Amino acid sequence: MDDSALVALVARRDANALSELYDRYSRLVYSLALRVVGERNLAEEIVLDSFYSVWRAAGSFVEERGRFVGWLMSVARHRAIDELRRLKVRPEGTAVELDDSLKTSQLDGPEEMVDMLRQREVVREVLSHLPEPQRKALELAYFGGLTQQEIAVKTSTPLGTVKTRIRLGLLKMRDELRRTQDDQNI
Amino acid sequence: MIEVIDCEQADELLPAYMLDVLDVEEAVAVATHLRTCERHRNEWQTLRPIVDSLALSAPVAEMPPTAIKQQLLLQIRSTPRVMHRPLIARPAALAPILIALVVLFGVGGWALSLQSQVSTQQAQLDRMTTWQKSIQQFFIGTNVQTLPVKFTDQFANDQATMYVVNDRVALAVQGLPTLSGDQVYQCWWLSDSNEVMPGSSFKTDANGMGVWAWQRPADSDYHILGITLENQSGLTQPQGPLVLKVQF
Repeated sequence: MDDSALVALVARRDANALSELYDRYSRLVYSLALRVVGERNLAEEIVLDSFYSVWRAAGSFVEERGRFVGWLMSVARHRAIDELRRLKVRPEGTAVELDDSLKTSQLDGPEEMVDMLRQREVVREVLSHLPEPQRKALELAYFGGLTQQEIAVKTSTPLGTVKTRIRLGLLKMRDELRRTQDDQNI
Repeated sequence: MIEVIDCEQADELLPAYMLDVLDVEEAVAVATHLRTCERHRNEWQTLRPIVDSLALSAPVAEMPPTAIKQQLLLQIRSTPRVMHRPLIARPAALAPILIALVVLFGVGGWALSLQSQVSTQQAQLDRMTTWQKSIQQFFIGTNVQTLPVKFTDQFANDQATMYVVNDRVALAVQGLPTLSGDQVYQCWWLSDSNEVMPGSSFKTDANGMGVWAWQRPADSDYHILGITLENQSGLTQPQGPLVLKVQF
């Protein structure tokens, strides 16, 4: 059963459907939460809260606006950034050892998840090719929840330069991901 | 006060908006711009999956402990199966009951008039919902709350949404009457003991649209924000007609 069908069932209060979504995506949510807050207990709370939000708000999910996993990760990221702002802690990186060896070829599971993890490898590849200042600015904003002004202060860079880096970084990512997608479709 | 932003400003703000690192008033201004600008709406649509994909760049962790899933399942089983808002907060929901009363008791014209009022309220509610959703679809931030805006009869066809983040509030309006001369829309804070504190004044653009943001007064007794139409700015007490109010 695909994600959209499961979300529709969750909206009708089907606990088994939520359980299935949890099995598919809790690891990704946990990874994102750990990357943002850098602390396991907090990351576990964020996982719990994120899937509880799915339970409460599944009825408001609109497929036309994007995939479920994008919505879920957006919920998790906001929850994690809120926690980060509350604690006023902004870790430079993760404070825990992570198993970064998971490869697409090792996965069994729904096609959507395999696709997503394949996309993950592509995204990391694309990010690694961005100029360092652009990649850093994007990461500080996305994972650190820093405003452009805060990034400017933190990196001792003029605000205008930070804005340009974020804009160019996103646009380059878009172009590169499109190119990769086109290559795969050939 | 925030002016309605143009395309050049949207170019500058959109990336930060996509990453949800703007202040609420800037975010509302961008969301409002997106509603009317096709070029930026297209850019928003193409950048959205790129921003989402950043989540995938996080190093992969192990599965969360099994206790978390058990806790989640326990938590959802303890929530009510269906969650309704109070009936009184949804006047349109009263319509079937009123119609049934008409049939059962034949209270004729009075009930029909009441039914008509309910239909009018329903139409207004529908317009408000459409307007609000048209902005919210671009609003990625989940920590933003919205509050219902109540227009007075004279301005019943206008549309507005109030966004709240902690002690910051931002108001997005559409369709307010065009101002002439020194006329302004004036914000007032009203306390529980009916004390009035003037806020700032603002003007709409040629289409009656605008987005403004305020800091709520430190005194937590001020629970109502009212907007009046005044012939001049700088007043200490409201003189013109009330346009809308929001209860916090």
